Amino acid sequence: MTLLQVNNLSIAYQTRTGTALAVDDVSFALDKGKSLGIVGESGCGKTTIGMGLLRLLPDNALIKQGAVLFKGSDILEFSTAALQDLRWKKISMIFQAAMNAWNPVQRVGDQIIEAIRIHDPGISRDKAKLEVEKLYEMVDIPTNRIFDYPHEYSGGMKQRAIIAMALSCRPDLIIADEPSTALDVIVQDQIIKKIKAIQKKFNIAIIFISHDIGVVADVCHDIMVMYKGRIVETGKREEVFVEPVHPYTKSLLSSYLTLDGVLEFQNESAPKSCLTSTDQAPGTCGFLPNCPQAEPSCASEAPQWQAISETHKALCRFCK
Amino acid sequence: MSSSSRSPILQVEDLLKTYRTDRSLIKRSSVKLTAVNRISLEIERGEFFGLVGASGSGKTTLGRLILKLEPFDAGSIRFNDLQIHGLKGSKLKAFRRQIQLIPQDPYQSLNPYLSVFDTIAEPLIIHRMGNPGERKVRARDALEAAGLSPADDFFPRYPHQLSGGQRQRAAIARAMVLKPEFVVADEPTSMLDASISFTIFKLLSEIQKQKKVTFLFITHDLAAARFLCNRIAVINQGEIVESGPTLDIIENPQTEYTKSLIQAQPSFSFAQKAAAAT
Repeated sequence: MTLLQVNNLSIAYQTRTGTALAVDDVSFALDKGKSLGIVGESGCGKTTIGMGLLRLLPDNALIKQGAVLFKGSDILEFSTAALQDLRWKKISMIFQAAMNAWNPVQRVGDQIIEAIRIHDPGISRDKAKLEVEKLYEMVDIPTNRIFDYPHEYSGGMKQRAIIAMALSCRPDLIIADEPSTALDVIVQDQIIKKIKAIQKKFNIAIIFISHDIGVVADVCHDIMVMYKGRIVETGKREEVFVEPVHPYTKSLLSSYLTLDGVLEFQNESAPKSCLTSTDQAPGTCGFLPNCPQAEPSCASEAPQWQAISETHKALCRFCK
Repeated sequence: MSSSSRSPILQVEDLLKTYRTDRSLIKRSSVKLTAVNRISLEIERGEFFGLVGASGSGKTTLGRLILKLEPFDAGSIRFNDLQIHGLKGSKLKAFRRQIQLIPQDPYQSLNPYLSVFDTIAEPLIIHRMGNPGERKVRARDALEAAGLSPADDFFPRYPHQLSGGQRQRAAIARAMVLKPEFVVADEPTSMLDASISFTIFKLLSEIQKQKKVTFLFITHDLAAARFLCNRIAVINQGEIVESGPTLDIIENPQTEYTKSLIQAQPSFSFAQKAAAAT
C-alpha cells in the first residue's frame, strides 16, 4: 500500500543573486513500513525535500510545482489546522542535530509529555507519563532517567530520547534527517540498530536522509541518490550500491572508505562540490562538468531516465 | 618500517592525566576521573600514526597533552629528545612552532573576524617570521598547497564565505604555514561529508609524503585510519588496548574493544556478499 507519493516536486529558494532550484522535479513513492534512503552531499537538496514534505520550509522557499500525496490527500493543499493534525501524529521528524536542541532548563520527560499532550489534549499528564515510560523502554533508556535534565544525558541517550519523542504519537512515517551524524561509530551503530528494530516492530515507514552511504545501506530497502537537486539514480539498495550505473553514484561510492579500503568502482576522484547553483542551464545534466564518461551531445541534450531493471533506473543517457 | 635508523620524534612514557569532577555544589566531594592512564607510545619521524577510540576514550586529551595545551600529572613527553614538561620562554616558543594542530570543527576553530589571509599570516606574525611581503608569499604557498587556489581569491574572504571543506583547508594551511615537523589532526573531518572528507584525507596524505611531516591522526573511524595510517593505537578509557600496523589490527584484532569498534563500522556486508557471488 502506498503511504506517500511525491509527484514532480520542485522547490526553489529566493536569494539575493536569483532563484536557486534546490529540489528539481523529484518523484518517488514509499510503501507502508518500508524505508527509503536519500543520499547525497551537503547542499544537494536532501534536507529541503524532508522539510518540504512537512511544509516546514523557511519563508524564502517556494514550492514551484508538484504534489505530496499522503494516504491519497495532497499535503501541499492542507490548511493550517489539517497540517497541525498531520505533523507529529502521522508524520514525525528527527531533525538534524536535534539532540542538541533539547531545552536545557526543562526535564527531558516533561518535553516529551508536552509533545504528546499538545497533539492529544485529552490525555492526562499521568497517562502521558506512562506513555513516556513505554517509549523509554523501547529505546533502552532506564525509566528512572525520565525526569533528568538534558545535560545529565550522554550524547547517545539524548539521541535515543529524540527517537522516543519522534515515536511519541505513533506516526505512520518518520523522516530522519542525519540521525546518527556527529555520534561516534559505536553509538551510531546502537542508534541504527534501534531505528531498524522499531521500524520492524511498529511497521513504520522511514525516510532516511544522510550523506553517510554506509548508514543508509544498512537501514534502507530503497535508495535515491541526489545530486544538485535532482534524483540521479534510484533502486533497491543491492542495485544502487552493488551495481551503480550513474557516473555520479560511482564517484560518490568511490569516495567511501571501508575497512577493506576504498570501494573500487572505478579509479576516479571524489566528486566536486555539488551545491545547487543559480546559473545552471535548465534541462542539461548537472554532473556534466565532472563526468568522466560524458559525450559531446550531453552539453545540448537533456538527460533521460534509463530503466536498468523494473526497480532500478538512472538519469543519464549513456548508462546501461 | 624499513628504515634502520629508528629516530622517534615523539616519546610518551607512562603518561597520567586526571581531572577532578565536582559532583555537587554544596558537598565538597570530588571524583577523580582518569582521562589518560599510564600511556606509553613512540611515534617515528615521518610516520602517519593513528589514535583510534570512541568518544570519551581520552584520545583528544592525549593530543592536547602532546601539544602542551594542558599539564599532565605524571610521566613524560619527549619531543625531539626534549622534555616538554616545564618548557618556558624561547624554548617553548620554538616547540610551539614545530608542533601544530588541525582542530576538529572548522565551523568553530576559525576566528570569524579574521579574513583567510589574516588567519594564515597570524602564526607568522606571532613567531616573527619574515616581512609583510615574505609572509604573503608563504601564506599563498600554504593556501595553495592546501588546495585553495588561486590564493588571492580566497585571501580577502571571511570564514562564513567558505564551505565546510574550504574552511578545513584554511585551517590546514594555518597549521602548515610554519612548516611544522609534527601535526596533530584531531578528527579533522568529523563535521564534513564523506566525499569532502575523502578529499581532505588525500590532501593530508600528500602533505605527509611531500613535506615529510609526522602526523598524529585522532579519529573514531577505523576506515579512515586504515586509509591514512601505517600504525595505529587503539585507546579505551584512557588506556591503549593495542597498537601496531593498521592492517594487522583490523584483520586480527586482539581485544574485545577493538572488535566492537570494527563491528560498529557500517559496512556493505550485503554488497560484499553479492560481489563475492558474481
